[in-house]
Amino acid sequence: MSPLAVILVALVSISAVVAMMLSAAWHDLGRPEHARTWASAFAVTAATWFLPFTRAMDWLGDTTVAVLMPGLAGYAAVLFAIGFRQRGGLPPWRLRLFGAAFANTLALSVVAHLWPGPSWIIPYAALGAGAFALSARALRGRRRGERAAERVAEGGLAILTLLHLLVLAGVAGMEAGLLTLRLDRLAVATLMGLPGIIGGVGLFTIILLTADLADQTRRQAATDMLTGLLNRRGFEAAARQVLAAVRRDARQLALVLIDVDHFKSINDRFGHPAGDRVLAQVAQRIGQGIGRRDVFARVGGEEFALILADTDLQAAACAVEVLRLQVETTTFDLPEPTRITASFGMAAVDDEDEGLADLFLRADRALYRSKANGRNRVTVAA
Amino acid sequence: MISLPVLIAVGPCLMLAMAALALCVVNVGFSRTTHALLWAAGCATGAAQWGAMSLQGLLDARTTNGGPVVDLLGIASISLLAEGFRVRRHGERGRHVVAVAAGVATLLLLTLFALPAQPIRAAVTPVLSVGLLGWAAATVRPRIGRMQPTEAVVIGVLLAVALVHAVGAGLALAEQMGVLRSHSAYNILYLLSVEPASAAVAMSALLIIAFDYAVELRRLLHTDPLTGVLNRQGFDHHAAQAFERGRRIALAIADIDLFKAVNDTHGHAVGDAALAGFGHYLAERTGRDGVVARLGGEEFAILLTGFDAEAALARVEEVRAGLAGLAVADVPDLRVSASFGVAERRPGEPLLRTVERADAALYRAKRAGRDRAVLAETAA
Repeated sequence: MSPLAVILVALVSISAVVAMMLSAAWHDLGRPEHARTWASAFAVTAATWFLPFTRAMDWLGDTTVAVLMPGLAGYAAVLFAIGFRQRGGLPPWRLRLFGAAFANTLALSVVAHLWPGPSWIIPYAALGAGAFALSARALRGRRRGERAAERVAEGGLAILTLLHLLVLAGVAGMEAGLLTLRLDRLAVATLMGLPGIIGGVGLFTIILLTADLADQTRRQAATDMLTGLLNRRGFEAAARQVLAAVRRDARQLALVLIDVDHFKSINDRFGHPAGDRVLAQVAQRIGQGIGRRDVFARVGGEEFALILADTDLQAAACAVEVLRLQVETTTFDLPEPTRITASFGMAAVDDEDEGLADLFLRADRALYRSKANGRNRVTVAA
Repeated sequence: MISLPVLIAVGPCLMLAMAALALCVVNVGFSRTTHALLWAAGCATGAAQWGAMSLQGLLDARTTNGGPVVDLLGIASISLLAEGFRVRRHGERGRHVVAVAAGVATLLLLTLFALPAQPIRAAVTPVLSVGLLGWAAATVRPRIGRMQPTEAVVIGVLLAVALVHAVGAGLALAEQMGVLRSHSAYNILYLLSVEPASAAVAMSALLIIAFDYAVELRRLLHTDPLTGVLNRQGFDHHAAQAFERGRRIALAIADIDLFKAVNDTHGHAVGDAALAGFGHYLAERTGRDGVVARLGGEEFAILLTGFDAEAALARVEEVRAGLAGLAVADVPDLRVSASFGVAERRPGEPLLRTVERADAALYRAKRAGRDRAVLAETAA
């Protein structure tokens, strides 16, 4: 049993397993386009390392295999880059990148025929370095998902780029007569490292898919689907953070509870879908009127909560009065013109050490008074 | 050229070390779960096993059989991985598997030192591995519903690796008994399979973590946060699935009577609690006969599978009657009643049409004085 055969079998089977896993992942993890692209990259890699077996059976000539292997590897590298660009929400550049891979194959055959020796690998090394650098950039371009996983992937891609550049530099140095390298040893070292490299790439593609899902899940758990605002759970987590920060720095903070008036009758008159549209519009209108650091959430059916940070109660009351007016003057997307208003109740953090629940309760009482006094008004808790 | 034993040992050592690192990143980054930690430990132990193997290979290039330390590390690694799969499925209750594995390992240690030349020695590790891997594969089966491709791939990978170990055990025994030429077939199998197998197992662990996130994400997207029953999206998804399977389906739309009065008298908090209590009650009483969803406001739907119109009406009537004695929120004298409209889905009818017919029946129930279940007219 030759060591070469052991490595080749490992390369083919690892690539095939990763391709299979990524296909399954594509199907089950919400069909992310990039998972499928990466799966095809691994399928091409499996095919690449299957080629030497065909040489053993004398189906193809030596030169053909020598050109085909780095040619195919070029397509795999390019597919990787396309996958990373898809993940980053960038235009995938399919035409450009496949064009580059095709040019690589042409260049390989020209170089292999004209210059015998190690320089035959130059076109592939250049393409690979470019493709992996491009992948790393796509990762950096638009951050989403989990930071740690992205950093690991970035490191991996940087190493891959560096390896290709080293090959490039080594071969160029040898051609220029600056370097003398033992090619057989280098080939062995490269081959030994390859299963690990391909397996490692497989690992970090799966980590990236996992990290993206984890991030999406966490955000989803805190988001209200109808309005896209935070939901009650998300609000409580965010509110506790803000509250803790405010206490630490002895700053001021106001909690505002907002309830759409007579919402039930809107639902009854125009149906639930229309009611949902009204809620979304109210959320949008109020969302436009607040600062970026304020926390805004839908905490119940037609009830919203808003935390105004770094404002004293008087300034906050003025701001909320503006919000009330904005809701009142909005034209809603309903079959017939309907005047829709909202009631507001607000409370500020006292000097006493009160928790979120108590603050909520006081704001709720103020809201109740707004409702009892005729709605469409702002009441400040005593 | 480099020697074979070193070659085969370095690959899996690097692979598993990378996998352990990857799982640690996952752990530190976002998924603080016990099973991910166990898998990380399993991979790290595996890396140590092959590291030890590689060191031995450097010292003595003729052996590919690791010796007691390597065997023990191997068993520890596979036990940790299998325990990870168990914890993922069954939670952290009962650590008997780890205990058993430790016991077996101790036993093995004794056996190895006491009987170094016995045929048992070469076969014990693979046999244990087969058992642990097969059992890990069994924990991946879905509890309910159809198997998804990811689960199938992971089960396939684990069983394939188990098969390799099983064949390895057989070959080792055959060699020991003199049927096979010493170390030939066994070695070749090992050489070819070890690195892909370790890579595949490590990646399966990661893939299944991703899969669990996807399942959780879908649950979040399909659940109404207030009541814990399905939301509109989840309802549509389940209905579409039931339609696909061609089962008989009946639908009941339920609406809490005079719910506005509850909100107005007791406030939103009690209103919300009443909604949650009502949804919980419906889900509990419906049980395995179907699914419950909140369609919006105080309107719920019960999707009954395998029921015709009359059976569904009787079932819903039962559910409605049970409401009378129920305290839905923690308010002593608060009782709620609900009206129900029931319709059986006619062959080829779109879901929306069935919902409309059930809605019309609900409207008639309200008009007739509430707190009742009414069957939709059969003629459209």
